[in-house]
Amino acid sequence: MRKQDMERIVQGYYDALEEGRILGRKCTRCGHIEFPPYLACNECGCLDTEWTELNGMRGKVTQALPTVGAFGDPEFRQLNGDYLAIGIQIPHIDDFCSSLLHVDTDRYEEFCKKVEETDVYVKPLIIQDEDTKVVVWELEDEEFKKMPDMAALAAARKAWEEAKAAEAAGQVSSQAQGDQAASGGSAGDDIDVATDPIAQTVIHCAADGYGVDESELTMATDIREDLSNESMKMIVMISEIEEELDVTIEIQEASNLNTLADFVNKVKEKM
Amino acid sequence: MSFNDNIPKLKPYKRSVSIIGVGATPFVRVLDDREVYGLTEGEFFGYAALEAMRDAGIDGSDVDFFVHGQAGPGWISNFGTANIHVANWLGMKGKGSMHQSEACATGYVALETAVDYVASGTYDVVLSGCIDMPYSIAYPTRVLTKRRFGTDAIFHETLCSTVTRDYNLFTRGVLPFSSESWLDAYFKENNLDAETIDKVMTNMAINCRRAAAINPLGLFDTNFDDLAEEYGMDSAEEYLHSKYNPLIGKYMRACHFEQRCDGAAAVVVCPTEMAHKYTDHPVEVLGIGHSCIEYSTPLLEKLATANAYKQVRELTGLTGADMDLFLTNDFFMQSEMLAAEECEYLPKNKGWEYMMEGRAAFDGDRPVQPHGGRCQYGHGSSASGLHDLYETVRQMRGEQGETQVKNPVNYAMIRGFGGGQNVLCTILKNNG
Repeated sequence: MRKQDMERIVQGYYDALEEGRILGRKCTRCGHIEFPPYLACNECGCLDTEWTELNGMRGKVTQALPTVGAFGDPEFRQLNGDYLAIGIQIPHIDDFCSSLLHVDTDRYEEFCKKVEETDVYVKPLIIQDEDTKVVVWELEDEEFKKMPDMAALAAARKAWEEAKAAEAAGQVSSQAQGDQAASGGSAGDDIDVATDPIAQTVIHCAADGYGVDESELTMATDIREDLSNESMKMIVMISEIEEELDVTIEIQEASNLNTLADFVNKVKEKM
Repeated sequence: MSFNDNIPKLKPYKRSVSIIGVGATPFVRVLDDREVYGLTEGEFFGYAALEAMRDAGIDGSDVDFFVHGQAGPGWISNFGTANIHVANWLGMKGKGSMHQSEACATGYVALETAVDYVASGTYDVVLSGCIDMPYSIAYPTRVLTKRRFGTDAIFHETLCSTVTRDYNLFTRGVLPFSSESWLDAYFKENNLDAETIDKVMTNMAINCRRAAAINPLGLFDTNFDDLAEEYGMDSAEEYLHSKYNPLIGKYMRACHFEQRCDGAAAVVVCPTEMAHKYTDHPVEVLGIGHSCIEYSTPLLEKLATANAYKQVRELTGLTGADMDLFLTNDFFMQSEMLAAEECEYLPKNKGWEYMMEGRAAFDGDRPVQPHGGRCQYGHGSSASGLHDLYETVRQMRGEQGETQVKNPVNYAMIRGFGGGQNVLCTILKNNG
């Protein structure tokens, strides 16, 4: 094998996405299509495949699942809007799962019923995801479509890009990135619990979730080091916060927060 | 035609292989438990391996080769060549060894690898062990008694590392599918209403925790009734529907997800023809089916389970219905119902009834997970698969005390699952 015989398949795929083209690899023997593209055919084992353009493909939705709770991606949602996880079926391509954007997630149950009863089709959509373009999906029909607030998404994207740029330049605190694990979290010196009702509520929720007395807790309390590393207790605490303050801190977000001050700041950020 | 049609048939082993010894440490949380605080990977592996050797009536001089398993030694211990890190603990210095790492499937591959070494004729006596400390992880360069919490944030990164990153990004769509798609499809296929689904999920948790709480190796010693009482509630059901057990997905509550912990387990195998020289209760490995399908495939757990089961069924001529006991990796608790039904241990479309009625509990007539499984007994990553094997072998011998299943266990099936994504289906025969 010579260097020039090793075509860059993955890079080729992403380069094509930058040009608005979606590529797969078609088996020269059986016609099966590998999407995303791989070297050999997984249908018949043939070692020879060739590029094929797939922009016009339409997929049938086989299943849809919510992306909340432990199984979603808060950052992806913040940058791209609410989404569902879907199974997709396309002739000559192995079934795969991906993300469905621009969908009315408030009508999830109704949407699932529709998927069960009739054929629901989706079309590919190229979006900017972090520092690369990726393929996600949107509905062909309008019935369950719901566009997010594009201005809010643009603002979130701008803030994200600025944070990443600052991070790269080493000019930002880990708190601003939502990643306080590295710093050990905020001690909350700027929060006066006596006069701050949100801080009081967060302390109450933490005491309930971790089964400790409120008097043992301060803004500097680290939930893992000082209380418990049991995930279940943290989940109870953020459920309580959601109930008391109507603010959702997703499990993955909470996983990156350490002190109670971090939680207070996160609640305030989201209010 | 699909990729599933390309799954090969298994061929019989060149020589039959039997299990002659098993060992396991308790599942613990080292950083939270003064009794075990400070224990290291080498000690855990060593205690499990030495117990397995003692159980087989042998010592380090009798073992020809050992296999080391750790789900991801780089994540947890900052080990390269992880087998070398435990090699001096076993009385086997200088002998050959290897490391294998298949995330949560590691403990199931551990048996497969050891069996293949013996079946091929290369070695006669092989020890295979797994150690993981995902709750109490090591610092990259400090001595191993100094540890830090394996937090949810760190755990999430390790999960991401099991997903191919050429095209897939972890939580964008694949995680909800790998966790709940099979369950969702199953409930729809069986037309179950929300109330029934809730009862199935609740009873599964109650029965698993009931077993785990009385298993001396389990992580917890309280059942859900105890917890309800502690929180001033009337019943386990009330507790499991309270804020202390919130929904974390479409169907799963917090109690339906794995409980990370630290531990190890080990097994010793040898040719079946030699087994009675060491023990009067050998367990023969009849076959191990194995299928891998990565995360982007919908219903991958179901597809890979069907593939692995088909392989071992065709090799052995035995079905799930012939088994007396079924264990499975269930870091999503529903896997115990879904896999048991897919492997025909429970009748088609009736698994949910068995779960709801307690018939699959350790004291039921078709026991599944008599130790309580990953969500209640504990999940020590790689060590879990060999804990399943330890439990199965001891159930076959009738040694499991309070959680001993009612009927004799002549045949058992273990369905392994984990990694990105690896399914094994093993059939064992009690030759004791």
